Parts: sequence; structure tokens; C-alpha cells
Amino acid sequence: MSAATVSPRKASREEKLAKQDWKNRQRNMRRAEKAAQRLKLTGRQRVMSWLLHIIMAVMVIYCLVPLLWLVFSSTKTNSGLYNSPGLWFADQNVFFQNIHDTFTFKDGVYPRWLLNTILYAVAAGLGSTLIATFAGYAVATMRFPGRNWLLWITLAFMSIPGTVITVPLFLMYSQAGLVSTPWAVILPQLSNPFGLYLMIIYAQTSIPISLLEAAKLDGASQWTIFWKIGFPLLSPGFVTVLLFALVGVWNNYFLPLIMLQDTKDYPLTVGLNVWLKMGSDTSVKELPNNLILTGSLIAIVPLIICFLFLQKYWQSGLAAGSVKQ
Amino acid sequence: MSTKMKAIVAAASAAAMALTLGACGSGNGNGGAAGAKTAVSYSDVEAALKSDKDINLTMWAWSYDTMKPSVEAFEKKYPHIKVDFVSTGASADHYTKVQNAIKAKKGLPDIIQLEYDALPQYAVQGALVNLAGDGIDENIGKLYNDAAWKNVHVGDGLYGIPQDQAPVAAWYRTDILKQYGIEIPTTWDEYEQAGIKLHKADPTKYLGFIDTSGNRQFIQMLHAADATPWTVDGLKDITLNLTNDKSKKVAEFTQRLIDEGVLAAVPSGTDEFNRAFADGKYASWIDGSWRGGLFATGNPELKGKLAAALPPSWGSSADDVQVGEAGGSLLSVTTTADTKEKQAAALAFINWVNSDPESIDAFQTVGGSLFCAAKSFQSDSKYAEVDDAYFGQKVNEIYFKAAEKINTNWSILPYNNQMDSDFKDIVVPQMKEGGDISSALAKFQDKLKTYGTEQGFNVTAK
Repeated sequence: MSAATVSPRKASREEKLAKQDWKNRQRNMRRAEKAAQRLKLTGRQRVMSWLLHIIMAVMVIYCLVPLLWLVFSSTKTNSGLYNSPGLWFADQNVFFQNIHDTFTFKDGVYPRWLLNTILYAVAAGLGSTLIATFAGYAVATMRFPGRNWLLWITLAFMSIPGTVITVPLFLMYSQAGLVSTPWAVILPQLSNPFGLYLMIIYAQTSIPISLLEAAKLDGASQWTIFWKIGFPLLSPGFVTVLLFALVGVWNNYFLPLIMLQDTKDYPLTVGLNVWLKMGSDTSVKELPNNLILTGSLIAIVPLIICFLFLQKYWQSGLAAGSVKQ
Repeated sequence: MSTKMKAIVAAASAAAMALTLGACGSGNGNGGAAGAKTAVSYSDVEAALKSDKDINLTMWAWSYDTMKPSVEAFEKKYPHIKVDFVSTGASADHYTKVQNAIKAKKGLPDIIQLEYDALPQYAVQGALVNLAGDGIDENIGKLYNDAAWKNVHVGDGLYGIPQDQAPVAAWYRTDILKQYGIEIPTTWDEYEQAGIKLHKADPTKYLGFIDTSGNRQFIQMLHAADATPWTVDGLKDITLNLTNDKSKKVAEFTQRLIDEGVLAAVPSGTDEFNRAFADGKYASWIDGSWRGGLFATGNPELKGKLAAALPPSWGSSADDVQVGEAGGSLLSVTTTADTKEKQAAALAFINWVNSDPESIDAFQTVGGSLFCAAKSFQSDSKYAEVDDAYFGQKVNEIYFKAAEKINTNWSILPYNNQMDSDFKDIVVPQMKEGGDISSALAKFQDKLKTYGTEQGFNVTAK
């Protein structure tokens, strides 16, 4: 029973504290407002401020309109697509029917493409990010022969567009018998020069060498140092590169187009494009435009979820990196 | 992005073609004369079906869903021949994969689907088996439409078995024509008059359009007008004649129709175009017969408002109409099938799929109807008399008539891809009001000659 006598008193104290805190905040806000009033903008600054706001608003619209169009389009029937305004609903809303049809069209090949895409994105995205993190850490914190060369080569590779080497890669993979297997899509995307470069720069600025030396003096192995000290410091960079890599693999079109031969192995990018191009094939009797649009909408949902989910790590990571060294 | 991608793919295939043609010159080519001596005969083909020896074939095609039931029916009937059937996606992707496999000299299946337009390109590369053996022409040739059978030949060689055909037909918006008191035109002169009348009555409307997204519509007009812009002899000799009187007439007439507001010059297949068509901006559509099947799914709201007809005649009356082609595909046996046994089984298989009544029936039940090139389809009244629910017409009857009227005086260039991209670069920009298609054709011809000569063909231009 003694606990019950203590708790009301404790509660009232907490209440008091909260009230005080609220008062403090109010005071601070009033002060800030006054400060803002003192800091009056000149006429020119005000014009600039307006102008910037307008430019930003235009950019927001520019980015959102295609997305809105996609959302509205996915609720329409094939004929509704061409009989209704692009940025509003048609008379008939068939959103759920479209989703159902997208997943069952052509013997349900769409879910298969979705799974393929997830497999390729996770395997190649995570794989390439891990490799880039290992390598970036090594280049940034260790001195070894050929280190500068490696840096130069990485830079050089960044300037080569992936499409240029795809066909030669195909010829190599063909001789190795890897064509038309998931490896043909995953292996080439494990090398990510852009990610590597980012990791090198990030590791150079965020890992104090003295910290690693201290750990070494304490007798930690390289492996322990990397996972216990290096990796936590690198995690914001890791998440950044991972996001870039995931988006890159998810949206890659040309490599799977060249490397894969069976529609069953296609990722969403190539698969949806097959539906799109079917209209110009003489033996095909269907133009599933509404399903292509619904399929495209579904295809970006996992990426959005990924962004929202990883963003958390990103922010906390950045904050963690801000502690004094 | 997508045009850039296409350019890359085109450049890649062009480069590959240059290489293989070079290889042909040094005597490494397959098929051709050497292949003809050992070609499978008709008795080999018959034996392949009767034999009980297991044979495994591989096949790539883009019209997988359409063909799957036929392939399954064949395997059931002839269980010793097994077909590993891979769907390669859309035809554009299919060609990329075929070309890359040829370049890698590895991975090409025994059987591939090709369009008539693309066949010569692969035949001259030596990737296909010449099937012109003893008794083949007599026993198999008679099973197919004459124009289609001609189309699977390159030079003297037979490089495939026709599957479907795309005779050009026309579809008219009968509701619009009725509103303005216009009859369905049967000749191009009538078409012009009707178009002028419609455009005057409502300047937002056009009787038709000329497709600027590629060569298909314009080249098929040359085909229908018997303009013979080029002839191909054997595998190497090409004569270009894009400046002859008939070609000039088609070019100038098309230009006039654009200037008069009869035809709108637009790329088809865009969102804008689809909307305009649904809105009734264009009162007719002239394209391969397969287009008819696409209306039902693409424009269900136009049900009962569209009617199919023969395309307008270039002559003075409907009776002398000649028809062009816009697509159609075939199955070819590749040099991957390196034994006589395999080639015979492959030929037996593709011939069965493309002409056996059981297979033809299967083609008609899957996703609408496939316009087969086999006579067992085109001369069977049970297919002609099917009432099409969408058009409220016996449309097959019209398409069959169009197929009969296909102009067989026609060759396909062995570098059709390049022709298409040059057409888009040189001729399409002139397809506009006040343009000059006729003089663009002369420049187009120069470009075709230069390219063909570079590729090792003997090109003469008249």
C-alpha cells in the first residue's frame, strides 16, 4: 500500500515540472517571434523569397503531377483512360479490379516479375553496398600499394555508362554459360563504382584514424575494428549507398533486357515494357494499358516503403555522426 | 530514353551484321549453296513424324500465349519430339536476344519466330537453315497463301514456314461517316474527295492519318500501289528505284492528302493519339488485319461504330485493288539444329503448327483469332463465316479477300531495321503540311544505297 501513497505526490511533482517546461517554451517562442520581427526583410529579399517559393512550388508540381496521373490512371478502364481527364477520376472506378487483373493477367506473370525484382534488388543492392563499404573503408583507412591506382580506376569507371559495357558483358557471360540465369543480372551489378567512391569519401571524413589506432593498441583484430567501430560510423553512408543501389537495380532496364531470355525471369521494368510493346506485335490481341499503369504504380510502392523505412536509419545515423570526435 | 535505347540496339545489331557479312565473304557462312545440297527432303520430314527416336528442340517466340496450345497439341500427338518453348517477350526484345545470341555464337535455339520484314536480314547472316530440299516446295508450299510462301524465300532459299499474315485492311467510323453523309471509299480518289468533304464540314476531323512513328504505313502504300521501290535478287543484289513514276505518284498524292487536311501526319500509339482516335478525330485507320482484333480491347466503347473494309484501291475502281502487308510472322530453323534429323523434326514441327487444322483451330480459340497464313484457314468457310461481335460483321471474309489481293510483286530489303531508321530520319520530317515527301524519297534512296554498299551488297540505284 505504501506505493499508492507515494505515487500521487510524484505525479503532482511531474505536473509542476511539465507546467514549468511549457512556460519556458512559451517564453522562448515569444522571444523568437520578437527576434524575427526585428529581422525585417528588405524589399529585394522579400521578392527573392517569393520567387524562391514559386520556383519550389513549380518543382513540387513537376514532380508530383506524373505520380498523380499514375494514381488516377490506375483507377480507370482501358477506354476510361482516353475518355476522361488525365488528372481526375473517370466515371467508373475499377482500381481493385485493375489490381486483381494485373496480378492474374497472362497466368499471373506479374507477381513473378515482382518477386524477381525483389530478389535482384536485394541480392545486387545489398551485395554491392557491402562490397563498396568494405572497399571504401579499406581505401580510406589503410595504406597499401596500388591504393592511388584503385582510386583513379574507380573514378574512371564512374564515367563509363553501364549500357556501353552491357553487350560485351553479354558475350562474356554467354561463353561462361551464365546468360539467362539470375547471376547474369546480379553479378554485374555487384560492382558499383559510384557507391565505392561515395564510401571512400565518407569513410575518410567520418572515421578518425586515431580511434582505429586506439582499438588496435587494445588488441582488437581488423575484423572486430571494422564491425565494432568502422561500420557504426559508416552506417549513414551505408544507408545512402544502399538506397542508391536499390533504386538503381530496381529500375535497371538494359542489363536484364540483354542478359535474360525467358519472360519468366524478367524484372518489372522489362516485363511491363513487354506488355507495352505487345501492341505492335501482329499476333497479339490485347492492349492492357490500364494494367501497365496499375503495374507501374504497384512497382514503385516497395521503393517508397524502402525509402520511408531506411530514412529513419539515415537520420539517426547522421545524428550519431555528429558527436564530437 | 527509349529512342536512345533503340538507337543503341540498332547500332549493335548493325555492327553485328557487318561482322557476319564479312565472315560470309571469307567463306565461313552456313546455309546457302552448301546447305542446299544436304537439305532435308519431304520424305525426311514425313519420317521424322513417324520415327520413335527422341528429339529435343528449343524454340524462342514472342507470341508464346498464342502458340502454346498448338505446341502442346503437337507434343501430345508426337511425344517423341519435345519442344522447350521459351517466351522472349515483345518482338523488339526478341530480335535483340536473337541478334546477341548470333553474335555470341552460342545460345541460339533450334527454332525462332521472325517477321517477314526481318527474315532476309537473318538469312543473309547465315543464321538460318535453307529448307529448300526435295519435294518441300511441292508438298508444303501448296499449304500456304502464295504471298506468304513467297515471303519466306530469300533468293532461291527457303528460310521459314509462314505462320500468320497481315494483309492491309481499313476500318471506318461509320457513325461519323453517316453524320456527314459519306460513303466508305473504295479508291484513293474517292478517299480524297470524302476526306475533303469531312475536313471542310468539321476542320477538327480528318478522314485518316499517316503514321509518322515508322515506315509501316507509307511503305505498305508503295506495296499496294505496285511501286516496286526496290527489288532483291539472290542474297546480294539490290536495285533501288524510289524515284520511279509510281513511287513518285504515291509520294505526291500522300503529300497532297496531308496538305488538303484529308490525312493528319501523326505518330500512332501515343497517349495523345489514342485519345484523339477515341474522340473521333480520325474517321479511318488503315493497317494490318491484326489491328482489327486490337480495337475490341483497346476501344471497347467504339463497339458497333467501326466497320472493316478493303483498303482503297490505287486503280480506278475497287476491282483492281491490290493490297500491301503490315507484319506477319513465320518460324525458322536455325543453324543450331546441326543434324539432318533435328532439321527434319524441326521442319515437321513448324509445318504442323502452322498448317494442321487442329493447330489452326487452337489459334482461333486463344485470345481472339490469329490470321493464319495456311490455306486450311483462309479457304475454310467455317472461319470466314464467323460473325464478329465487335464489328457486327463477318470480318474474316474481308481479311481473306484482302489476303487474296496481296501484291506478290514485292521484295523485302535485307537491312530493314536500317531502312526504318533512315526513313524516320529522312522521310518522316517531310510528312507535314507543306512538306516534300517526293524529294525526301530521293535522299532516302541515296542513304539506302550508301548503307547497303557499306554492308557488302551490290546496290544499284535507278
